[in-house]
Amino acid sequence: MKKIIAVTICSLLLTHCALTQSYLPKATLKTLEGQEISSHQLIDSSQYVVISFWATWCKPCMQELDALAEDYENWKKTTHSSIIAIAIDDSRTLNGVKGILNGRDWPFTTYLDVNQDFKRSLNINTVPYTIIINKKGDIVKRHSGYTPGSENELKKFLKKQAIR
Amino acid sequence: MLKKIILPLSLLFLQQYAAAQNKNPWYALHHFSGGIESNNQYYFENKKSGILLPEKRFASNTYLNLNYQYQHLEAGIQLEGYNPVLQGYPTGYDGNQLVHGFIRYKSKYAEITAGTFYDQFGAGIVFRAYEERQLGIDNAILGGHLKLIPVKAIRFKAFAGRQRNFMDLSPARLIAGADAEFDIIAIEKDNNQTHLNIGGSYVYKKQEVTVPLPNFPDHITALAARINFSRNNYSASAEYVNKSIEPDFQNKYIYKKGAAFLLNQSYSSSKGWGINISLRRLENMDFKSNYVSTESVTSLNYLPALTKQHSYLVSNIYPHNTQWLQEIGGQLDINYHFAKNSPIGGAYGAKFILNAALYNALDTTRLSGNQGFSSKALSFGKEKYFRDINLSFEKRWTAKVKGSFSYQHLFYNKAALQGGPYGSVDANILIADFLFKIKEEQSLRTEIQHLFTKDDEKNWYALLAEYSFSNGLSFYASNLSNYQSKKINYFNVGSAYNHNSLRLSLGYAKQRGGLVCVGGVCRFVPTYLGFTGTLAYNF
Repeated sequence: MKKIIAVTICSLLLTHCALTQSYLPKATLKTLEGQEISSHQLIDSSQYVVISFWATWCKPCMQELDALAEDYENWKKTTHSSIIAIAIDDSRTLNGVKGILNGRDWPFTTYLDVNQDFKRSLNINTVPYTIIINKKGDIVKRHSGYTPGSENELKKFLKKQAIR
Repeated sequence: MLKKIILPLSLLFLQQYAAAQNKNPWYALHHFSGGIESNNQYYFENKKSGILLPEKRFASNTYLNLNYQYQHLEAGIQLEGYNPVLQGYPTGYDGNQLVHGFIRYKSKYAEITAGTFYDQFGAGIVFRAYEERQLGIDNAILGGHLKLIPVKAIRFKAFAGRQRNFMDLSPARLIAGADAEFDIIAIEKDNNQTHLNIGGSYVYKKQEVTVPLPNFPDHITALAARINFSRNNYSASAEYVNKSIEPDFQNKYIYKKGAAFLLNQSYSSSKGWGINISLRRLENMDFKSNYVSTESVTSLNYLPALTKQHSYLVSNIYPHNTQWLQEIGGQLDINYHFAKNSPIGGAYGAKFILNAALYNALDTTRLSGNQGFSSKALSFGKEKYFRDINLSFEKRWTAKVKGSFSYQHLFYNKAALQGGPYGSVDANILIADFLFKIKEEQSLRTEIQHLFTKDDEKNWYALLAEYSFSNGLSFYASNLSNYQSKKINYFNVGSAYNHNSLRLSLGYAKQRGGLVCVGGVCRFVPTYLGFTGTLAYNF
């Protein structure tokens, strides 16, 4: 057993050194109307996409999306990127998603990850969690957690990419 | 079983790796990803608060995932280590083991999985395999899974296998299921967006008869039918489940069929308000792959408490607990957004949220023999389980100050919901939650909470302060105090740091169990006194 763990950890480190960039995994998401879409439909060949994982019961997630929503018009212009919100609520709190979207007036497209297949395929443990994908679908940035102001770090990163 | 999967899987990787090297740079098509999460605790004793030292002072839960993707192929493994398991988690998690391994082929029309997998049929009332690490739940199925999408409007799923039971497999020898969903209407025009789909599920469980009871069933079947409708701002969904006679340890071996009904309706106005109503009725719906177990880790279905999920300390003292043997009730949500530059909304807008829930026992008649009880279909029983009403008003008051005020009234039948010789609890809760921007890159969040009650353990208060830097570093301190009855303070001090996908945290706490949201994330924590250190990283 110890050998398996040791081998896996080494291979993990090696692969990580060789490859810090991974591709957006394929998973099935649902629209608010219940239609299935592939996570690959989130890839936008004209711009970078910020994908933010949240849940109705997660306070820092709300803070992050509120902060992004307040600045969204400016964000789109300066970073040349769009934002998509993925609710990981299961059937316990799923019905509250639409209400929150209404009450909060967020301008983002939201999809549902009902049994958390998309979240799992990205090895995400906790929300909030944000990834940025480039025009090809490569994951170019991952960000775990939220502290007020940390959205500016994402903004800086996107601006740098836009200059390149 | 897992070893049988891992070996061919590794060979397949090597073969594909070699093949790809000839055509493309290897990294262009092969994608590796993974993650590690390690939660560690060091315990202290506190006899005054009734916290005893566990067998070992140090405990650790560690999870390691590795995933691989090559064109239509995916594979992954998960290793888990409990050395030993953290306090408050089921003790069945023990030792180090490769717990999951799968290989999957995915195309536009089909998805085939061999190994461990998760899935959900409908709302999960009839079947849900999922992982919730914070709660210690992982009821994955080991076997085969197939999903077919012959045309866009038809989805079919089927699986067969055995369920995980901690570090082993559950006694039920076979779990199998099938689910089909059809889109009847799918109109997507600007002024008319209408969708109607129907679905049906079947779940089969083959079990060994180990209890000396007459006519004990060696298999259980469950059938479900569902319908989803949405038109513009309105949506409705309903699901009905019928389960064959299933005596088990939790229902005291009554020979009774199970049934569940769930109805949701919601309307969202384009003017910033929305309403949602859910109704649910449950009757003998415990459905486990291990019928002698009380652990939810072997549940085949998912029956969550349909109430507001709170993130405040005092609101989590009396949470509703689903009564799957018999329960009827529902919840209502109303959200309202006050526009910017309106009298109440002010310069930045404001939000008002109302949530109310009500759950009772069924209206039942006790039956002689081993059949348990009979019940009236849509009638509420006299026994009240849970009621609450939550009102919350949230607003950005100035450019630098954002805050909310919340009120909650609750009724909690502690005897029925926790089991034991308790009275019921009537309580009122007031909460003020504020976020102050100190400088461009620093902020302070404070919470003041109070629970007023003359019942049970009397009044509680909680205070929380969290100072955060935009670079991901935060410091927090909180205290939850039962200051009239038990006179106990549950404190929590610590720091968390998030950088890209790395999360580190260190804290010292006397912790009551519940959902705690500090340091940028929310998680459920068990009761303990001691240090907690967490490391999480993924790529």
